Amino acid sequence: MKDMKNQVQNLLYLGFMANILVITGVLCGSLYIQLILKEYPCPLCMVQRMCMMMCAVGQLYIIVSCRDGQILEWKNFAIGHSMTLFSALAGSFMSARQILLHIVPPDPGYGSAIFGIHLYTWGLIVFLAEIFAVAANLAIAPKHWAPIPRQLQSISKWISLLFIAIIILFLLATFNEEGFHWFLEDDPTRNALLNLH
Amino acid sequence: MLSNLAKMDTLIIILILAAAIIMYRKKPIDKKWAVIIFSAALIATLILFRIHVTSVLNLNF
Repeated sequence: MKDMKNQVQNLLYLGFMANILVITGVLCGSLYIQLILKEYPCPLCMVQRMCMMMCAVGQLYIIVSCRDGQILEWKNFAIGHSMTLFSALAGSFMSARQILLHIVPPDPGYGSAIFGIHLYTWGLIVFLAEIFAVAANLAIAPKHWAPIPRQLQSISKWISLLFIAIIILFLLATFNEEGFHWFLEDDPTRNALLNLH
Repeated sequence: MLSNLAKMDTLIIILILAAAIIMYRKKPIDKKWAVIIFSAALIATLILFRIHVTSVLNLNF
């Protein structure tokens, strides 16, 4: 019974890391579209990206709360999930608002579609998946946690560092797009600072 | 108010980054600050979103 409980908590811990990795992957995709395909994000895309980052920050809070052999307290588990949940709810409103903005024909939508779906619709799917993941985690989480295995902890350190590196990249890309200008255009077509071709 | 929006995007990402780094450092006293900075970033994002919505469509609720 105890082994099964440990397996469940290790699976949950893997889930937290997978959550951060998925968000990091989505953010990398949007960076690729911005920097390589030269499709610049609009103000609404920006706020959705921020919400995605904050969803992952909630999971990061849980991961670091049980690092270095510490036992995860229920309070930290709840705080991390509430951070993710608040961000996902806010993000889903923002995505829904952008979908509604472009839903009436003959509007072709903003930016290019991936697998026939625009990025803001993918955004809504990601935020809804986050809400679902939080609900599932809360349903199966054990009340008392045992220390997390060292291997998982060392993997989580690297994932945390990767996520922080992606936020730094985002910060630079956003600053490059906005520059020192007062406005971020509604439909930006170039960077304010550096435009590499 | 609108004229500060562009800079607000960068500032919010700085707040998110600060929250993530403080969490990563993981000193017990820092945790509270990480949550406070995270909350500030979330509220700022909602304000930014609200300004975008009302400035573009001029909606009345």
